[in-house]
Amino acid sequence: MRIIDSPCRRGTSTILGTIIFIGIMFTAVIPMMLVMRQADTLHEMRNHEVGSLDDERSRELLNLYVCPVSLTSPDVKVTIVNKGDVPAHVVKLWINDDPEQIPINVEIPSLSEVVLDSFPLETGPGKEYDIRATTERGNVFLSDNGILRYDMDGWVIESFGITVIIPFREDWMVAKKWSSNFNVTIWKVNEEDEDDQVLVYPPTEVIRAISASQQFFPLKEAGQYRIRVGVWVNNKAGTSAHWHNIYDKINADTFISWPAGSALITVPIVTPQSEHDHTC
Amino acid sequence: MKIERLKKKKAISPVISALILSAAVLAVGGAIWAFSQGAMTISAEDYAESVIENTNTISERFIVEHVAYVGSDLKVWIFNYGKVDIEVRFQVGSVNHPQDWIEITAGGFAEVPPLSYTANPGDELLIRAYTRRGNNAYYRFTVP
Repeated sequence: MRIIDSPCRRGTSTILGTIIFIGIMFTAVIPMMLVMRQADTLHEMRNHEVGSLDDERSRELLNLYVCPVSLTSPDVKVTIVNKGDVPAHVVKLWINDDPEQIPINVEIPSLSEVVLDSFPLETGPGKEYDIRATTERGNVFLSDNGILRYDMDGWVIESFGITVIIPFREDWMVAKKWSSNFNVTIWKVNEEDEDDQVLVYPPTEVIRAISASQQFFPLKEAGQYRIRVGVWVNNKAGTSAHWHNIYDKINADTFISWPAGSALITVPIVTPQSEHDHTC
Repeated sequence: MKIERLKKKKAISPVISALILSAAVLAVGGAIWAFSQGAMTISAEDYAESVIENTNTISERFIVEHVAYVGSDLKVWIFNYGKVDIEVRFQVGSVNHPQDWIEITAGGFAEVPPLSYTANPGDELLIRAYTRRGNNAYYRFTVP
């Protein structure tokens, strides 16, 4: 009896203890570790999400242009240009302190623009309008035109104009008998038909003062312009004095793109190198 | 004589003693099992809750979207562009406003009830919006 007695008892408790230990491991410790691991994973995921949101937010770049439809109309037109790397979702358009006057919910793909339907403002003498757009990512963009103002006579808007810069005097110009007298002619060009041009400034004389000069030509409206600059060439052997055109262009440099760009442009007249060989 | 007799008596049968021992082991083991399971469940839940709360704290995203000073009222708009709901109020100078937290759902915005505040034109005010979880957003405002 003593031989079969004690080893049997010791083995049973060891097995039971092991089973209980394994049971605790599988039913308590491992699930706890799994829950903790899952929570950590969730934390990491959310951390990554907000990091990504912050990054995208910093990449948002909108230009907001607000301009009246006409000088006296209460309607304004809003153009939103997305110059950022990421699509932008505009969720609010603030008119002064009112975010809900103009409901808006517009998605603007990257590097593209959206022109909103024009809408009226409650105009009145001396009233000012600060217009801003809020995006879904929490950026607020101010109007690039600044604060609009309505006066007795209508909207107070930018002054438009072109500054023409007359070129420096160079030795070869003297050799070619170029004088200091230039003339500038400006036409307003129909953007849909470049041949449709309206003369705004007939040939206007500009004198080169010392080395280079500039002349400002105020204009009434934005748009595409044609600029022609001529120089007076003195008598030369076999040639009579005459106006010689050195610049005649319609291009992006002669386009006043306000409100999406500057209301004032500067056109430097760069005389091409080929003028050296040109026989006036 | 009696002792002699007892010495000759056999103990309880080995099977019964093994059963008793096993029962004792099972009882103690079961108690430890139950305790550890409960303790670990509570620990796991606490840990998960704290991680989720921490996650919500770092996920909060909000801005002071606009401030206006009308009459003698300071108006503040707060935009919650994050993905968790927030409870917020703001501080200007030494004034905390409003008394109760304002709840703003994810993606929502709220106009905080106006605060009667004395300021002169040209004064620069620093407005700090803060949440119950302890995040801040700042806005510098010049009184028109």
